Amino acid sequence: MARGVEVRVENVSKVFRDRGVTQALRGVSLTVRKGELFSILGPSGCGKTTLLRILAGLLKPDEGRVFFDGVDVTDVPAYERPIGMVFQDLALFPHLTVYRNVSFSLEIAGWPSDRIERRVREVLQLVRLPYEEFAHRKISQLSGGQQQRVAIARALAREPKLLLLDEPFSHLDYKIRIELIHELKRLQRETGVTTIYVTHDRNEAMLLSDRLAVMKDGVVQQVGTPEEVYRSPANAFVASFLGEVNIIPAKAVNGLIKLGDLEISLERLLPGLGNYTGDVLLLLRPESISLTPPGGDGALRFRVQLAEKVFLGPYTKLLFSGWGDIRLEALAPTREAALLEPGSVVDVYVEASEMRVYTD
Amino acid sequence: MSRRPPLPSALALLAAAPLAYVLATFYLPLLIMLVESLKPQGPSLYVRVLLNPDYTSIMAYSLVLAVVTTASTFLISLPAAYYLSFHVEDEVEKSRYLAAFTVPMLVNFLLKAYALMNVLSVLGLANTYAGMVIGMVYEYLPYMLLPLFSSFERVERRLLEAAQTLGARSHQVFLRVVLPLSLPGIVSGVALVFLMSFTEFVVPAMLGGVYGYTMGYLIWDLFLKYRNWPVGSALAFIVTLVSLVIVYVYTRWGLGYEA
Repeated sequence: MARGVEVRVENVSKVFRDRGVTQALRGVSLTVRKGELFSILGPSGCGKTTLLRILAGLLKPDEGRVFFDGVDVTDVPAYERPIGMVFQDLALFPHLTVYRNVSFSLEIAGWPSDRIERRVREVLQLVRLPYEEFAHRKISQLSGGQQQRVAIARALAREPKLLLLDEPFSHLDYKIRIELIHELKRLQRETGVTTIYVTHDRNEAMLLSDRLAVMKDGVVQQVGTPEEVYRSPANAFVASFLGEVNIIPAKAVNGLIKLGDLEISLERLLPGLGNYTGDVLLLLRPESISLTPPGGDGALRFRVQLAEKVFLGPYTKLLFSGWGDIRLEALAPTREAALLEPGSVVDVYVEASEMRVYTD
Repeated sequence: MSRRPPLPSALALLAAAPLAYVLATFYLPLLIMLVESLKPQGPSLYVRVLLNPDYTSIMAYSLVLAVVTTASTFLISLPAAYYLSFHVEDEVEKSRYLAAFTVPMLVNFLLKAYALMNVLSVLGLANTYAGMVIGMVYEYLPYMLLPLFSSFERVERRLLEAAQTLGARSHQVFLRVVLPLSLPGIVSGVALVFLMSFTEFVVPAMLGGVYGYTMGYLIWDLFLKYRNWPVGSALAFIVTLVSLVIVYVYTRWGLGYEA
């Protein structure tokens, strides 16, 4: 049951000063599909919250339009949009009980009280807060995780078509956070509401999203599924924001780059660069570096020296020093890494298809 | 059992001086007045005073004036404080408005009253009930405005946005979020202005003409004109008691949501 709206943002710009910091969005365009769980991921100050507030109708863009299901809602105020929002600091009403917080939007909408009660029971059940135990508590009598659930219940009470969440779990413990993220995912599947989740935490975004947008400095860098964005990042920023990555600067001459004693043809990495001359960046995920030669003939071989080992449980982080002052970080299964001692010189292997090259 | 840490003796001395001052200047005279009022005929004087329609009618009249003053002050301050707190974005501009509202508090009241008298006589309102109420509101406005303003300032702005995203228009946001959350400030502003205006006698005396004979005026007359200290003291006690009871009941009711 797809109850959500399709959200389309066209060329939205906004510049304003908030507590002395200039926040900006520069020509943001995005489409979030009906019923999709979509994340906006970026460092603080990248404009993700500004974009969310524009979608909520709490801010007006300087330029550009916002469409819900193809209808221009740019000038529609927040109270007339079919939305539910969960704020970073929750913004639960301290003077009202759990029940009255959840029923707030229903009272405003003028529902009769028996229907309100039925809906409050339903929504509290949806967020797994037993009605008898919690409905008549005050907000201050709840734990952080319970308050989160109330905030989500309040936002979902009047069955919005678009659920907006602004880093709602950022101040919770890791365990509760993961638990709530799974809950949110379940809720979203059950209700089918289009959901936009703003976060600076790549793990949350990857765990949660059908698709995500990575933002930086008010500009959308890339939109895609977590896997697409992780595996084929549009640029070095996206690559490093989504996970650990080795960024190796190199010079290309006529489509050839030299890394130590290794010559690599750019054409192998990115077709169409056969004759490129200039600076390039090579990006390589630590887990793409393997200690054993893979089958097939696509692998590049680097001779490196192990500088440091960092034990991470099932995996061990290996820091290699290579040609020049290049350092390579690799992630290997601990049982493989155990065979290496710092100082030893080894060959490591990378499938050419795992390496990304950027010419900017 | 919790035991209070012993107060260092130097600190105790520091606290003792102001305490002694308050005792000597407030509670002691009050006690003397109580004794004074009971000296001639004991508690029966109170019964006589309370049964005398001359006194009770003036008390009722003052009560009505206090309610009218408080209500007018509230109705004028509420929109002003609301606008100031929620719609003046610039902090400098905000503090300028605030100063404009509070500077009159710093000016000697007689000065203000004479100035106002001139304006009222130009308007033909001198020595009228309306003129008197205008004077009262003028005097007490800051005492209402400041508590209202500061309690509006304390309302978390995020809550207003949350209410908007839940479908509330601005009047609904005000009634359902701002007002209940600023109740403590509203209650204290209203109680303060009510208490002060109930016993006020300078403004009514100067601006009210024949309408200006209030409780405060009566007590003033009893003490200084008729030299009737027992009745004056009894009335003063009754007025104090009545205002305390009213304010107690009102604050319990007004802040009831917190209990």
